[in-house]
Amino acid sequence: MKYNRVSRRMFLQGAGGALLPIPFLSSLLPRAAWAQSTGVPPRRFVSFVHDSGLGHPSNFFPNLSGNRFSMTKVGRVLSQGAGLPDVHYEALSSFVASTQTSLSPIFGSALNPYLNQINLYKGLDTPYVGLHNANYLGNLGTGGFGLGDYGTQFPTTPASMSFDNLLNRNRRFNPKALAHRNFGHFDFKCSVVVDSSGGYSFAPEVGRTNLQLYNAIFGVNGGNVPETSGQTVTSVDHPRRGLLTSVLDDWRRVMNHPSLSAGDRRALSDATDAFSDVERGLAGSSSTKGICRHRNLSPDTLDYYYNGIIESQMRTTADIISAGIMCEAISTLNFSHTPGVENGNNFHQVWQHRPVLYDQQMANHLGPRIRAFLGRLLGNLSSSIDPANGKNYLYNTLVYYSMEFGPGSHHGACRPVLVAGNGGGGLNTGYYLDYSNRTLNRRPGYFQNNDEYDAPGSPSGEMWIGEIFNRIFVTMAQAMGLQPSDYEDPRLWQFFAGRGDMGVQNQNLTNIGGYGSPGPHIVAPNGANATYYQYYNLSEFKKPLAHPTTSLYTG
Amino acid sequence: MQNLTRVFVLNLVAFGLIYAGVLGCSPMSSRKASEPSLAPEAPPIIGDIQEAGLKCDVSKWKVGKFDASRLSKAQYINTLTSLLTRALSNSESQLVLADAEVSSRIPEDGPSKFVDRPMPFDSTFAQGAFEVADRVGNSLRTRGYLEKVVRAYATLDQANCQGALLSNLSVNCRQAFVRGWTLRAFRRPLDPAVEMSASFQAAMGSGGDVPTVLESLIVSTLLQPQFLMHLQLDQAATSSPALARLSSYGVISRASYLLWRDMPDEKLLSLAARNPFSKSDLAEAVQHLLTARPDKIQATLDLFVRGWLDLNTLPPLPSPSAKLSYLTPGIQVNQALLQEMSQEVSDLFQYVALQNKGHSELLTSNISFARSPSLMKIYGQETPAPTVVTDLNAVRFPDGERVGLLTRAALLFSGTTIDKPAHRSVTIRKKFFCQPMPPPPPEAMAAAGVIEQNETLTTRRAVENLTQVGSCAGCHSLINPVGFAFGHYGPFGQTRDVEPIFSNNQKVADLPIDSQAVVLGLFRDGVPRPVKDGVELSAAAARSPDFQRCLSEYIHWFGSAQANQPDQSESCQVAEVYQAGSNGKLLDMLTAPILGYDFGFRSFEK
Repeated sequence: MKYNRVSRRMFLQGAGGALLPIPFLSSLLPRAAWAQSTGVPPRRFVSFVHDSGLGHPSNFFPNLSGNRFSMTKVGRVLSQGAGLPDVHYEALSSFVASTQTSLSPIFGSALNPYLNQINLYKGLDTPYVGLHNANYLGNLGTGGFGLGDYGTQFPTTPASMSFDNLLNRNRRFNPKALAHRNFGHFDFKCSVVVDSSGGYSFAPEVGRTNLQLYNAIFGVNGGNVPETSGQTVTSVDHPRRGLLTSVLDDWRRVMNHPSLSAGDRRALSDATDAFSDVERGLAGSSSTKGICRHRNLSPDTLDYYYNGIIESQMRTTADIISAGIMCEAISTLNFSHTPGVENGNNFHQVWQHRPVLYDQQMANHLGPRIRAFLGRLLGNLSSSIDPANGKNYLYNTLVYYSMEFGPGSHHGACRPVLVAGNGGGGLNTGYYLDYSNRTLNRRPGYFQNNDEYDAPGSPSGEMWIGEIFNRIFVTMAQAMGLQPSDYEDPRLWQFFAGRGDMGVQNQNLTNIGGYGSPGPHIVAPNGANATYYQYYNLSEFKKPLAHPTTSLYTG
Repeated sequence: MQNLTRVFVLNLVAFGLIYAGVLGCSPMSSRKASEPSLAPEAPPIIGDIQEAGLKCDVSKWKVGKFDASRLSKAQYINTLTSLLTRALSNSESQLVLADAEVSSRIPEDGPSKFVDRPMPFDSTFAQGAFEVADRVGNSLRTRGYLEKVVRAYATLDQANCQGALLSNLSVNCRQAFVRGWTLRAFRRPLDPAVEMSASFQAAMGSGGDVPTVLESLIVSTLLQPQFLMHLQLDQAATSSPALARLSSYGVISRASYLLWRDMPDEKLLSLAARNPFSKSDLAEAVQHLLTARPDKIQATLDLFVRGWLDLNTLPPLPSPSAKLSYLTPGIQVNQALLQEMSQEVSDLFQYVALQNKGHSELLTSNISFARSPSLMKIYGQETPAPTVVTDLNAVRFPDGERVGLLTRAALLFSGTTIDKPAHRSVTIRKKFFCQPMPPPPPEAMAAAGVIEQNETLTTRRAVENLTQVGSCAGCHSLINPVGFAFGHYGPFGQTRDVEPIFSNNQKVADLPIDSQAVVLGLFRDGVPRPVKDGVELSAAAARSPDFQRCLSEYIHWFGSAQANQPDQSESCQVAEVYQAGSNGKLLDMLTAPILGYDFGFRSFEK
């Protein structure tokens, strides 16, 4: 075979090198600059969540082509141990052939510059939901569960705080007691607080317009938060950058050796491209830190629900949130997003209830808005330096994006999750992680034969059994420096101890409460939904999800 | 199920064809008596390949199998460690490795059957390699080890470079250091024609601040393709553009990474330097590899046997229950028990190999390697196996109770509170007889639960009732008997004469075990084998050439360092392993892939 392949790396180097901001690798900074990173980093948390779902996993995850439900690139394997499914993972950047390559229909290429600071999670399940009491933000006390429409279903179930409020009230996470803001569509309840008497209620909402959000964070006309100009920080080239440049010449010389096979040259070419990436990351940079500007923002008064959504509106929301973080006005924020009425149609009733029929439409319709918000938010946070520790703000933040359902209507299996940021260094990022157990495909029947994905002739559902969803919250809690005693709720244990209806492997379990608890339906003793839990190893629920031991972002 | 039966039968036929292929190629004894030199003698002519000693048909070789690949994580860490310990003490080397944070910075490898399987050389690995190289350089300098490293490697190049300050090191000593250092780092001598890059020229010249220049050389070396990859830059061409013979250094390096997962040591490099390099030199190298570093060879044998028998993926532990408590008195049912089970099998394999025992002892040995209280309890054993087991001090099972691998706890453990005859049979057919087995139909998995919940019958009777009728009967008439023969071993591998029957968490009966079976379709001769139990079946398997053939396939798979199971095109190489075991020795089979003449060649696409 003639060797004329242009590798992905070569493409990036040649065509997109100037356009693609390679994340700066601050571990490779000159030693004088490394010393800036000291102490416990400040941390922030932003959740961006939809009600219901936005269709099939192929809307969110890369490379599900051909047989759209079979990963063509399974990637590396993390072995979790006996009895647990392996985790397949791969660098997110490996799915993107150029700066313009779409990662997926929902995310497009807007997140490409930040892929090394993002994890995309697949195979996280709330095994069965039914109505709208999914544990949007962890555990049982969310999503209207125990309240309102769904209160009669499990009226005696205790709640616990949703993850955003839990973090905000924790002084290890939020030592300055900065504010929490809950923003978005008021019918979509996923932010819950618990009062001193143990009762629970929905967190107060600031409204549904950007102006309301701005005023809630900065005060009317921004009067509560003074602006600061910050300072510009520059760094020099890594001292061994020249050496690596010379080494790259060596690689190219070896690549021309007459003994090499075509396969040798391909391997050397890929390696050379990989070192080129590293070499670019050793270059110096210039950035601004400690800046707080918000009066230049022009918050609109568009209602997120009834007036539809436009991309500029989403970007403004992202600007307000990132300014709130940089101005130290908030430590946590939840943005509950529901599409509402679109072009005269009730998005939820017409599209989200027909996920097979409207997969593509949902992606086309909402994808640009979702990536407008996430792209702007990640861009803002990654391009500015937090003076507290010299890292970019995204490094010190976790941005959580997910939704209530997976591919099925009213079904929480395989809920897609994107987490951006490193939580101050606690989360290794840059990966597409798939927790699906490739030996356990439960389709058909997993939707109790009442979903389109169970219908004859429908495309295969993504019904591999994965890991229980709440483990992503355990992961984030521990990444944020919390200890189990900070988030586990012993009141929940009574509902799980000794349950014999949750599958053979889970009998006689005790102490699986708190954010390690599996989900609401398991609370119903001997309920039909409990049978879904037989596939999960409940003894693992309190553990964080397995991750690669290295982060692709080392800033 | 009828279709599955057909598939199964077809697979058996195909299996027979593979065997035919194995037997069909020319035996090793047809080689010429004289030993051909591997390098640097004149390369063989493609038309004369058989004359030159290549045994198997080159046209059937897999192309590109030995293309350049990067070191695996284990190989990288071992190689870097070996480089440091040639010059520094173990404790000093460990300090440098800790400074470099090697384990966390080099990414994990991909899943592997027998051999290290590095993932592609991507930016993650490149970044890790850069950071490690950078940190190694910094560590050597700041800890004051740089001078020690330079002098040690210069001395290895037989230069006398003691005395003078490092900053005043002579050009001769600088050059000696570069030669000595790169010979080890690249696993072959530096080729000035292609490798005299800027950093090498600077290091070997007279200018610059010597410590800085030499530190840069060290860092640069650790980033070179010759260090980070398995490369054959010094291979010799043949008349075929797609066939090359490896240099002696290439052969030695390949053998070293196969058996040690590490770079060659000084003895191996001295053998590689012999000119001409003969087959006896390679044999000497293999002997050295087998004896000089027991820790490394044991680790490699452990890697092999775990891959062969899937010891790292034993079934999950069963959930707590009254029946489990009854079955496991005094036994700690936890992950450690699974590790002890798999380690015991690995220890048996290593013992047979390294004590130069016959491969049949893998199926007949009555020596126990149980050392933990729980595993000893399973085996009914009073005394733990000695740390170093010999024929004289071995703890042995009573006659007729337990022999060889098939009766060890790791291979008997079912992950439930019943034994799983079908599972045991499939394992034996796949792992010991290389019979392709169709995956169980989905309903079979549901049936397993039904069998476990039966409250009146032995597992054997429950399985028979379920599988000897209807569509299941075809496959299971072949599958079941092999598993039934091991009925005297419980779900954790304990010996038993009766099986406890439970109902509502209470034991309601003890039913007698029937382990007599007529085994069908296991042996190639097609003769039904009536056996009274697993011990008798193990003995029959040990006597059969079928097991030796299957083991040869796995050893070739291991020896060829490829990710996927070899196919029929490699039956000739498999036969070579088989023939090497004709004297009965397992070790000869394990080293056959290296000592086979083909080991010194590669076929590739230009």
